[in-house]
Amino acid sequence: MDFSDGRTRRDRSSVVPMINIVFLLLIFFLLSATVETLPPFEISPPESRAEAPPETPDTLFIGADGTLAFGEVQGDAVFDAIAQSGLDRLLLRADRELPARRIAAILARCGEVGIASIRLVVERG
Amino acid sequence: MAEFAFGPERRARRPSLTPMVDVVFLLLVFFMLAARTSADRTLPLIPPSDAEGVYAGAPRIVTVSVTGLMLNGAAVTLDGLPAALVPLMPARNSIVVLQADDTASLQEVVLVLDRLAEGGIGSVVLAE
Repeated sequence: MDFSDGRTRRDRSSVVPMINIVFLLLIFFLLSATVETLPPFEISPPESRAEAPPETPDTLFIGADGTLAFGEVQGDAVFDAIAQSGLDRLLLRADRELPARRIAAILARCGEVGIASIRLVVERG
Repeated sequence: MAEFAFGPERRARRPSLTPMVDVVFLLLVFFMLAARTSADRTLPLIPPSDAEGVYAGAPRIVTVSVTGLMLNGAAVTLDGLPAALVPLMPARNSIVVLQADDTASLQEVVLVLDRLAEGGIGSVVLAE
């Protein structure tokens, strides 16, 4: 006896739902991903229990030896770059070994170039 | 107009989905690996210029060094700091000045800021 109706080829339409799901996942990851600016040198943020979210993606990087970087600019020229960008918020990504005196001086300079709100990136302690 | 038919009639071909699925899977894996799902955690810092002219009441200067903490020149423990500061503050959001000496690192300052925030003191200005 032959019960087959002649459709011996595997039905290709079963792939379509999978593709739908995969596209959905792809779009989810595309939208949820944040474009991250990598620091030009290695930075390990201080440990803290603070949990506030960042307000702005504009980041000033400060290395353990006090090296400054903002976008493409490095060194003391970063403050001119910040002043020209017209930002009023800034994210600091500073190394935990940075001398605290240095960060106080950098905060003062940031205030001078028009930054009103500064947040420091920390790691879960 | 005459129609020509060369060779056997071709059935309309559906393009193969497999290469597209391959590419889409590659993209999916790339974004899954590249995505940072956890947002950064941050600690607010107050630029010293914000505090000018706002300071009121008794002096509240906390000095941080590797050897320990000082409040207005007198040694104080980290856990005792919020309790020692509260009587000196005219209001809950009064400014406290935090001064680090040459030996203190950012991590030590952040520890003090954490402890003060837990004690309800959030307006801490880092002074040079």
